[in-house]
Amino acid sequence: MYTTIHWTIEDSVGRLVLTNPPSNKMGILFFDELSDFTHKLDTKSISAIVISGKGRHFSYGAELHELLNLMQSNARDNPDRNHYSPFFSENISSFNFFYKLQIPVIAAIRGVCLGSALEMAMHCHFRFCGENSVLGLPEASYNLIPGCGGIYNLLNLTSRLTALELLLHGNTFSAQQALQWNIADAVMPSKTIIDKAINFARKIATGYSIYYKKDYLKLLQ
Amino acid sequence: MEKIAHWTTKEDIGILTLKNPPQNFIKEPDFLSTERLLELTKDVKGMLITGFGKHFSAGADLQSLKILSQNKELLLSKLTYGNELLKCIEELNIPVIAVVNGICFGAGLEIALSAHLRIVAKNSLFAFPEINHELIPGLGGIIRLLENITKNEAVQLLLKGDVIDAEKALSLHIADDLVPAATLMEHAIQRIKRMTDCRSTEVIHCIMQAINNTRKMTRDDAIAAETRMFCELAARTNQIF
Repeated sequence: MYTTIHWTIEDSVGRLVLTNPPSNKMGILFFDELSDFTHKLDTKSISAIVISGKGRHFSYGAELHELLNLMQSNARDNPDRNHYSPFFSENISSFNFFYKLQIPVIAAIRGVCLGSALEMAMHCHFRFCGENSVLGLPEASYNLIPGCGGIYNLLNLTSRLTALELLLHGNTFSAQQALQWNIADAVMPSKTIIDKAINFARKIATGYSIYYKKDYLKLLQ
Repeated sequence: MEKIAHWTTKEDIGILTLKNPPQNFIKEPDFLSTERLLELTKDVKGMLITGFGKHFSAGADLQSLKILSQNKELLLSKLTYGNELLKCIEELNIPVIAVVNGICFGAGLEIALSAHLRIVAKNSLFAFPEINHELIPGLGGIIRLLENITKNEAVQLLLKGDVIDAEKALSLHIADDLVPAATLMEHAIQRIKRMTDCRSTEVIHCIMQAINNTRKMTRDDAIAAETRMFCELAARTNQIF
């Protein structure tokens, strides 16, 4: 049905896979498909969602030239400074959809997870990272900022000092650093991460509330 | 009365020094006007606030405060200006770091808390001693303290006037980073330059604006504002990807 995402349900756990390998970049088609998906999904039939990337990586983030071209043509059509592209506000709604769900949503991050991809992962309730995964918000080095809730969510997860450095310097960081900075909730071997995420999701699905996040994470030890 | 705030720049970083040695007492709450602050910070990418010499600041000078308090209206007006100044510092859309060594008490701590971050030396000490004089912090210190620490810990500081050392301040999240006194300034400059080097002023402004928004907006509003700023930057960019 979709080309850039793939959805399956196994034993009531929904699995959303980003399927634009090798880098699973997020372009216009991806955001359109994700929006369509979030509007049509019947969440009553599932107890949890695990999000991952096909192949070695979660995602390298936004397809910048596509999005910027769209953005610039929108700006030419509507020079009003307060107007912002309906496309981008729809993208926030799509990401926010996962944040606002009452069932556990887990990002299982293997390999690279940059920019918009990390923004999407930060809208999830949990982030499990593969041992060799690499994360980052490099937008500032392109004279841009994370624009889909990345700044707000990062500030809520980690210390202000770490957030300022990661946002302004834009450096990538390892799974271990992400764990230390509270951006990742767990680090585990990449090979087992999807299975572990699914099992974890099953365990906490009954009576789930994000309020008990810390207690749920003890189940991993 | 002469003002105690001194301004210097190091490349594109502004340094605001509280200078009234040896303890850098804050003689007046409105030690700098907001207009002057905005003027000074217009062309820099980041700002450090520090104390001249061995201490950050021992806070308000009780002698001056006593004289001031004889005229209630004047005191209130000066405190209001002081409040506006700290609010202005807090809402600057460049990173502001308080660089703290030695004593950081009362109004000094209130000034430090108005910065986005606090890098402190191992020898630094923090307290709100106002309670010992039947007073309370009057420049938003209570509110800003509660944004960083729990009510229980705030009570210890505010009602008992406890003095805490740098380690304790770090563990309470009043301080963000702890370094040896000898390398304090060097370290602070390094950290702020790491944030601002190679970054355009407009990107710094947008990121800091978004960070400041998280303190005063709902999640949805703050994220919508982020997107608006992203779109403005994206529409203006000439880069080809």
